[in-house]
Amino acid sequence: MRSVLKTLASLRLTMVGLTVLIVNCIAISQWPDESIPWVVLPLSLLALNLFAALVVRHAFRHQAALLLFHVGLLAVLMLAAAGVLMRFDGSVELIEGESFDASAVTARGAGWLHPDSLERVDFAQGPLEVRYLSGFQRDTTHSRVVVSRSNGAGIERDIGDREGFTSHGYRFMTTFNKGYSVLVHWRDTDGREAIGAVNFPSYPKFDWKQVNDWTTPAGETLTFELKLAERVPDDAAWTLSSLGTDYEVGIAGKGQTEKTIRAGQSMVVAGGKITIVDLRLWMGYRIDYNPLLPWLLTAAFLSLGALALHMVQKFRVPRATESVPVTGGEQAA
Amino acid sequence: MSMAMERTTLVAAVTGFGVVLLLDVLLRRSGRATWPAVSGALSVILVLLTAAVAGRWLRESQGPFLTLYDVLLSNLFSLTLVYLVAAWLVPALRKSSAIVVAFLGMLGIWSLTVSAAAVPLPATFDNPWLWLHVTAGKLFLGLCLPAAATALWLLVRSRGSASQSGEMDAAVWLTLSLAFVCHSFMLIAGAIWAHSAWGRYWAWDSLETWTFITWLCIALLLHARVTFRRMPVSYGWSAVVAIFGLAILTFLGVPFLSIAPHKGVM
Repeated sequence: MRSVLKTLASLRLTMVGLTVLIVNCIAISQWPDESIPWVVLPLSLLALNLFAALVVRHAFRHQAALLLFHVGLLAVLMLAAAGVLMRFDGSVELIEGESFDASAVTARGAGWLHPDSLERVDFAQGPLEVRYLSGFQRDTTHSRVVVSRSNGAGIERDIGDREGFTSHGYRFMTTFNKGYSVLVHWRDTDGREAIGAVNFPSYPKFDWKQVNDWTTPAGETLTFELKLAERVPDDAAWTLSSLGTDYEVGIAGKGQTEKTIRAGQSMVVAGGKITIVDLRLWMGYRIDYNPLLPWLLTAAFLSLGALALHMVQKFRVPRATESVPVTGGEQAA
Repeated sequence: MSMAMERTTLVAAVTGFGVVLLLDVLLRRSGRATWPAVSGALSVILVLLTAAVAGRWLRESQGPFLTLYDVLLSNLFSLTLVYLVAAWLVPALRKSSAIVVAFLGMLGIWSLTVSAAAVPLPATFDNPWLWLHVTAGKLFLGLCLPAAATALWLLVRSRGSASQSGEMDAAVWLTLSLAFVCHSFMLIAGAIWAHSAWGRYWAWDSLETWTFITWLCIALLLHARVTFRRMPVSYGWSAVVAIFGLAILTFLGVPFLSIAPHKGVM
């Protein structure tokens, strides 16, 4: 067993592992979407090599800082791997006034061990405001949310850009992705009512294409076009907000002539009548979950501190009065 | 400080690098000590660069993080400062001053050829971890430069005494090891900042990947030094120079060529 560990602890194996990892990282720089398969094998090899070295190599026993650095490095590897297995990465769009619905979340990635508890997250989207500098440079984002606590009480938070909020381990961050949404009231010929929302493409990125389709409860697909009365200035600061925005909505069924209506106005369509209720903003949130991040950070800093200490212990500053001899073709230690 | 004043100050600093290089060569040929004159002249250049960076910072109300010009200007400042401090503390690094100054001069000429127009810093970048990330990166590059310059000097002109070469060799590995510590901190601080700015701590974007490759190359070299103790010293010096080349490509090339979120962000 010990001989196997000694073989595994070889520094030459470390060199092989690091070289393979470098080559694979170069491959990742070309195909970044396939990163995990490229790094799993060399990182596993290096983790095994490091574990064996920690057990059998005497050099570590005499250099506590070096030992701590490598233990920390092993912990970073383990925690990063466990974090990948437990993580969740997704996104959701919320309209002002809308409550979070876990079924509307688009998952981009979830680890095998992710404890799916998004349903427990409860918050409502309040007013949104995004400030711009001249030249379409996005400045600050302000999103007001009301987050429900476990005792049922709601707490109001103003989040954006640098600050998100965390609920049941899921962190919600605002993104650059946001735009207008029109609330539509539907009433069918039997008097049944419903409220729907048409989210238009991200604004101002796609200000030239504020068009989206919406299917009525009767099954007819309508094309909505948001027509804003004023264009945003490209040479002055401005604020993206749903308040006080003058707009009209052009609506057309397939093959029909478009009809333009304003807020409060109605239009008869197949099977019922639609009324424009209000203009709101929607915000795209990025959701991430990794409960091991604080531990990963702790291990990384512990490892870094130990590395710095080891370097301080290892090197003495060579002074002009001192000399470090070089013997033959070998390096100075 | 106006933009015109900033450019004039930068031109003066870049011209200063040329003058220092000439001075260095002439003093070496005459067999006189170079360091007092070189360090004095570099200190004057550092004052000019400090004025250019501070003036730009005050005028634009943001740090020099975003454009290629920002990065070149701030690196001219940090590389000069770190070299002066490192060579003051470790005399063995002074011998390669001509190589350091020549490199800084080339970087300076490059900075004069790129657009100096400022780009507003996105709100997500207003984070103390970005400061720490960038500072650690500048320290890394600042320590890598004298390590590589000294290694290159040893490769080209290691005809001096064994003791002198030994001091310089030790200085190479000292600065490279400290650079490795700074690089490690840069990776951690960058991950914390990325988690805050983009909701993830690592995403294998071009700059992250190449920065990690640079870190791995240094780790590989430090392990190789222990593994192959009889390896000729010139191999290690060559590798140090190559790692500095890789770091320069990573810091000054990749961010401005990629389309990842890191584009233009330093």
